[in-house]
Parts: sequence; C-alpha cells; structure tokens
Amino acid sequence: MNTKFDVHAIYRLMHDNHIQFSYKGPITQEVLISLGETIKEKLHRDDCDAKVVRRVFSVLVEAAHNILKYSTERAFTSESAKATGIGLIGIGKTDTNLFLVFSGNIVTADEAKMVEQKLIHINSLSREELNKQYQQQLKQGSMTYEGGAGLGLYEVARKSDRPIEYCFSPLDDGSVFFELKIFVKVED
Amino acid sequence: MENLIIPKTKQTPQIEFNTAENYLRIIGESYPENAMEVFQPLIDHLELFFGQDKRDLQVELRVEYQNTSSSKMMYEVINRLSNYHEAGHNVRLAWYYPDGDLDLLENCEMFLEEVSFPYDIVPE
Repeated sequence: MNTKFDVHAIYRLMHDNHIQFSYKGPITQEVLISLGETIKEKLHRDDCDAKVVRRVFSVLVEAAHNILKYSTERAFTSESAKATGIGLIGIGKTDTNLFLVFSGNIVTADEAKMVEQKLIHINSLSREELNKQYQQQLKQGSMTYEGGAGLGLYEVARKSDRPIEYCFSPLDDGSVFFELKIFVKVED
Repeated sequence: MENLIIPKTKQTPQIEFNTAENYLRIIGESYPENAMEVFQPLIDHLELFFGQDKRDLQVELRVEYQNTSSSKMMYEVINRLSNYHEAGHNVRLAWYYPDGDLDLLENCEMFLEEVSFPYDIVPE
C-alpha cells in the first residue's frame, strides 16, 4: 500500500455525502447479514417506517447478491467452498429526503452489455408494466444453478424511486466497472 | 409419514410441516443466496404428502421479507399447492402480513392471483 494513502480524504468524502456506512471487500452471506442487521437497527432507532426499512433492506440484499454472484473479482472465504464476489456497497441519505443504496463492482464486458439493456428496459416501464413483467418473470422464468431468478433488478425498481441510476466505465483490461445508485423515499 | 422441521436461521425462515396434523407453517425472513437449498426439501416433502390418499392441508405464511430467489421458490410452492388442490386434495391458506404494509399486500395478491384453493390475506 502507498504510505500516502489518505484515510482522512475517504472519511471526508463519506461524511460530506452523508454515507451511513460502506463496505468494500468479499460480499459473503455473513457480511450481508451483519450489514443488514446494523442498518435495520439504525433505521428503526431513527423511527423510520417499517415498510421503508424493508424497502431499503430489500434493495441492499439484491445489490449485494448481484456482487456476490456476478463480480469478476473473486475471493475464497472460510464461509463457503465457492469463491464469492468482491465489491463496494453502502447506504447514504440525500439532502432531498431519499435513502441512497449504492454498489460498485467489476463485471465482464458481456455482462455489462446485458445488464445495461435490462436497466434501460426497466427504467422505461410504467409502474403497472413493471409489476406485470415482474409477475411474468416470477411465473415463467427459470432458476439458475446459483439461485438467480432474473428478478433482482425488477425488484430493485419496484422498491425504489426510479429511475435507477447506473454507470459503466470500461477498464484497461477489457472489463467494466459497474455502479448502481438506487434511491428509496424516506417517507411514503 | 414424518414431519419436516427446518429451523429458522438469520436468513431463512422456520419451516414446520406437520403431516400428522395437516399443517404447514413458514415463519420468518428469507434471503439466502440460493433459496432452492431451503425450499427444495419442502417441495419434495409436499410431493410425498400429496402422493398418497386424498389430503387436507392448512398453510400458514408469515414471511415479512423475502429476496427474489426466495420469491421464486415461494411461487413454486404455491403453484404446486394450487395443482394439488385442483387434483382433488383440500388446501387452505392464510397469509399474515404487518398491517399497513401495502408492498407486502401487493406481493401476497400477486402470488395468489390465480390459485385454485381458498385463501385469506390477514393484516396483523
């Protein structure tokens, strides 16, 4: 590590942007459980509506599972025989009374293309169309070997204040850095 | 036939399938990475249960939160229950949800829209 690594700058960046917590590393189920419990506990303490807490949690879980399954950076942990995805995930609050759930991880160029198409499509749907297509996928979609149901981004859209914001940045080695910003209304 | 009891964990619900008293209860949050690992044993057990004579089953659901992998498997379970009912078995279902949570109500309605068995959606 560079000895000039600026911890204070990271702290300031997170503080100034009202980031409540953030984690970068292997996303395991254990990490997700403890992040989830921490945030649920904090939101309850802040008298946040139970439904809104469930929405934030739901978005966090789907974002975390996307990293866990699709990040090309992977690590072995003691938790599982399979390698798990590495990525960045966190929660903040905007000045405009929205919770922000964000994630960032590296994916293949093919995966990036597929996800981008899906996000463009999902962002174009009305609330009714979104529910209808979610239901259709629920009924007709098949489950992958990893337990994916093709529903994650639909669910994120259903629970959030759309559009879902995203960005794909090509990296030198041909892979792509994928970031997601999902906003959930503090009050319904 | 044996009962199926899968104890609750931090990320998976308690599944209690009492085959002597004809009830199935699923209680708790469900957000495992792969929900098939949790729900497949239940699906197999349901198949055995309904494979014999005409059966009655009372289903009680209290699932406050499920991730999409769990939603998919819950839909599989409900779809199968609907088929068993249609084939002459007798299934009833009650889905309890926290009063006022319209997201959960919307989900319940979506899951139960086309089922053949009688059901209640109960706020509590």
